[in-house]
Amino acid sequence: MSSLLSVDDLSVQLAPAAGRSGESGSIVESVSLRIDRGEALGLVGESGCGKSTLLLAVLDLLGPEMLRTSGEVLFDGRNLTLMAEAARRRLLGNDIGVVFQEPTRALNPVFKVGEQVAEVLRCHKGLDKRAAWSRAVELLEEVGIEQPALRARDYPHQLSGGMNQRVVIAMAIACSPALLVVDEPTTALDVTVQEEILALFRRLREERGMALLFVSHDLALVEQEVDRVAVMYAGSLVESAPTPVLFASPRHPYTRGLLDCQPKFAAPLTRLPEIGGVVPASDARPLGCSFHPRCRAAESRCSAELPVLTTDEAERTVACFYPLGGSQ
Amino acid sequence: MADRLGPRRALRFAFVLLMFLYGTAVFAPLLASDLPLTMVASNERAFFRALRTLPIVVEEAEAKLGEGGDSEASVRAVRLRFDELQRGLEGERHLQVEELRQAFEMLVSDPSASGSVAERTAQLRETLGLEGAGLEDSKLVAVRSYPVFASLTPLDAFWMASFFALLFAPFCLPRRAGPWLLGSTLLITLSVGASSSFGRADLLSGLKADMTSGDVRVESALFVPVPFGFAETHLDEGFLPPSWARTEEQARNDSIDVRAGEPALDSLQRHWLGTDALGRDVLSRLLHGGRLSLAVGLLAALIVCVLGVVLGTAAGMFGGWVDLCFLRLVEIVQSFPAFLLILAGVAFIPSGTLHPAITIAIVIGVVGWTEIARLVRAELLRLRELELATAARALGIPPLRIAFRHLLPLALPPVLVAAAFATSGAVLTESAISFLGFGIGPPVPSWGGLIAVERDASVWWLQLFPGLFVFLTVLAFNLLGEGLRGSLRAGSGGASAMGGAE
Amino acid sequence: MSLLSVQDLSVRFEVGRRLFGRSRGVVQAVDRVSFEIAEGETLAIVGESGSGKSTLARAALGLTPAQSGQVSYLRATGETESLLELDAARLRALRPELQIVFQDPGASLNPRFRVRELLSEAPRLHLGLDSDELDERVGRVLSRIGLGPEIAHRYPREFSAGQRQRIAIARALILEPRVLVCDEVTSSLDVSVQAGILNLLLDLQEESGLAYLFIAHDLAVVRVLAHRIAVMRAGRLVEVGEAREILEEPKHDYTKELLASSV
Repeated sequence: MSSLLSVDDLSVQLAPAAGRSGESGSIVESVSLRIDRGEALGLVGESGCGKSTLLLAVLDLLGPEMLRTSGEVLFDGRNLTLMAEAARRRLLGNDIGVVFQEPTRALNPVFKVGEQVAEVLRCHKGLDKRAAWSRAVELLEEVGIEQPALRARDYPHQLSGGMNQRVVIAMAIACSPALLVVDEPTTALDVTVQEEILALFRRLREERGMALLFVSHDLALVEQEVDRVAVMYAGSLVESAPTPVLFASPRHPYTRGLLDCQPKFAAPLTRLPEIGGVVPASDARPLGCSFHPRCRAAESRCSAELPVLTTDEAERTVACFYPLGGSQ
Repeated sequence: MADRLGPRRALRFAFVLLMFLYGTAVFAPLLASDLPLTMVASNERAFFRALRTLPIVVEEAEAKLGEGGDSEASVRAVRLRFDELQRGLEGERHLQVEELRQAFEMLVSDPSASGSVAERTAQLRETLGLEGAGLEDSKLVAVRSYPVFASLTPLDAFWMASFFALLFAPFCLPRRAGPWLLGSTLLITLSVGASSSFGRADLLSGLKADMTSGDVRVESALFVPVPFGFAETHLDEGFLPPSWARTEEQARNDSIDVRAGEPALDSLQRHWLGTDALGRDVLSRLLHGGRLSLAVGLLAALIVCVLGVVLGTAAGMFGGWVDLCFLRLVEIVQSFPAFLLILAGVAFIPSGTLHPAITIAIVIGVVGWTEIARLVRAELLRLRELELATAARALGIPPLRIAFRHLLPLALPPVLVAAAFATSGAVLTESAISFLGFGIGPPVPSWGGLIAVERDASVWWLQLFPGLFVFLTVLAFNLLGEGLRGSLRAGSGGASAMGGAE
Repeated sequence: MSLLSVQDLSVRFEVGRRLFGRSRGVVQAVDRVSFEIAEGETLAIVGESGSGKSTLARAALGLTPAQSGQVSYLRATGETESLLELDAARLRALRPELQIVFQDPGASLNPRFRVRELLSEAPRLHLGLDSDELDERVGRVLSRIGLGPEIAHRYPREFSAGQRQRIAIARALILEPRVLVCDEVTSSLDVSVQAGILNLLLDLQEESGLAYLFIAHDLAVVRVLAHRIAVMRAGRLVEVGEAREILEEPKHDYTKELLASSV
């Protein structure tokens, strides 16, 4: 009960529409997560695993084509899924801050960046125009923008991608949320800028004690940023563990495969270890464990039964019948 | 209206409407004609004329054969008459004529042989008598014929067959072929077919008159639904209001003669939509007029599209001085008021070289291509910056091929929409031209021409119905354009979405 | 004797336009860059976005106009061609030998063509093969990239991102090039899919001695393939050398910065 965010058995499907035949596969299948106050959780998965959809479902921001079919989300003890529209709106931006992938797209091109940060303050904190503007300039400085008073008068297209992302972060933390949710915040940015943004997250967390939900497709990227990692594959959670434990001795074959194929660990001019096959489409998932066709350790049981998440002694949960033992 | 219907329904509605309009135009000869669909009749006048002139012609032929001169025409004339006689006779009489014919043919093949048929034919004439007194039952054999179908030209038939093919094509063709095949066949077929039905000299055959007068004795006949030819005048019936809007006194005018196959004077079926100044049936003229108006519309749209697409693609793809020339040309053409330019073109082009319908279509086309051309050029300018164009260049594919085979198909959805609107515009323009009197002259009807005949508001039926048909056509094509625009935007599988992130 | 030799290549873009067509400014995208690639070798060009590396690659192939510089290409016949001075037709004829694969296969594969048409168009134009020979070639190259000839009738949209990239590689490969330019070919792919593509490129190089000009922004990825590495920044090459040297003993500060954030 002390957890800040608790996701329980959440499932999302494509909404039934005219012309769609019967059952379509679920995008997200029975996912459960927990984030305590001040804790950072990394949610990792490749394209098509459903992590972005999961994120939208948690925040109740799903579009009309998708439908949450089960599960509930508790934030600070309050049930997000049952909340009224107005109450949820008060929550987002205030207690939960969100940063999406493409900063330039998240910002409104016809308003100055300072105005956009100020707007968040005026909506949620009820500040007047002048107070909001000066607080906005302070925030811009806090996220590392130089000459914030000048920059606040710029439009998004006049700033670089990295600077725009800092503006978006400023908007997200403006009301000192307890939880910051970020979805691939550095994917659209240069490598050098990426490092700066990650450093910014670390600093903000330290200074404000914010919890962090970091969604990414890059497993290696989150290693320095989060306390726990949860790995998703084909709509469900396959493994979750504290970061050092996961990286040192992953138990799910998929996690192992993901770590092995990172180029930074490979010897030059030699083939990288690969996970054969492709991620199945949501309406073409194999029976039993969705990973089994690509898994080297698969046995007959894997194609018949669905493995369930089981917790072991190292605070680790795995959904596999034959998890890997031993170390890297 | 398209917004409220939604693109799919708009398309269906447009399709139904267009099929109706084009259907009535294509099948106009079978819907409104002074000829019957089928009849069992004997042509007494033709028979007796043949009988009367047979001996004379035979003599002439024999003479020519004897001399050894050019006898072909004469022989043919004889054969025609024998045909006519044989058609009308049966039994013994038929055999008699057959005998005579054989004898004649022998002479033809061997002119040196002796014997003359001429006298015997004269005898035959005596026997049968010029009134048919020598005939059993005084009756000639009645044969079944199909006058309407006989009057169709091969292109008419082709047009009708294609129409059916197009109607059922969506159900038979594989999905891939789809709209493309449909559109292009429709376009070409109708254009070609339409231009065939004009310039037919036999606007009015004398058959109906013969049937009425009794020269053709009819045993049974089935007429088309609207048994009035589009050029057939009923001078006593001028300015008759539509049958359902007629007052008592207007209907009862006994001096009007009811011809063969026509409904009675007080029946509702007589002139459904009234008549014009010369007593010509409006509905019939409307249906036949559709052939012209719709065909010109389509042909003009076809020209507009071809010119526009080719020039626009060239300008967009190659840039440089090609583009400069293009832009200047477009400016020149567009700086003239389009309609006046069209009128001038139609008025000054010497008639006689091409059928006037084609001329009008060409003029409208040559003046109206600029919109589509600019559209295509803009699309090409955008598309050639896309990575797929660079990739094609990197493969060493020549720029011309890249433009027409790789890029143009991606640019076409908006062009299709523009084409639909261009067609409705062309139909309107043609109507306007005809209305002002610059179009094809009477008696060939066209919708605009029909409206123009009388501008007096008291003869409202002469203006309302052609106008209604023009309105329906324009509505149909506009809905088609709107529907295409909506459905192509919704899900074109990447074609129009190219340029954005996936 | 190097296979491809670029000397003092410069590319300039005009930025913004004033009312009467004069430009507001000039960006020097590529500034007097020179490098060489030997047969069967991979030269990686690394830099951040905006460094001009993609522009460099395209200009070297003559796909983007260059203001100055020379590109010499050594053909299998032994002749050397100066690519930027060739007329359009001659350059087009050389294209099969110098191929390129782009970053986003969704954008570079025309969605209206089936795989078979995408792959067979260029060989048909350049080699004049008939339908059977083309089918056979298409089947062979599809098997080589790991997808198999049975997919030839499908459309690009039916495939995943990684598979599409393989199809794009196949399209280049079917022309049997000697130089393959890879412009950020794995940058938009997931890590596990990326591994597959990198392995494929390694295999292809071993089998047929292809030379690669490999453009990337991530030094970690470059490690897998590169024999030599050139670091690019703001249109200039700041450091060039053997891969091992650059990765383990970088000399330039910028290289060190890049290294720190990638690996």
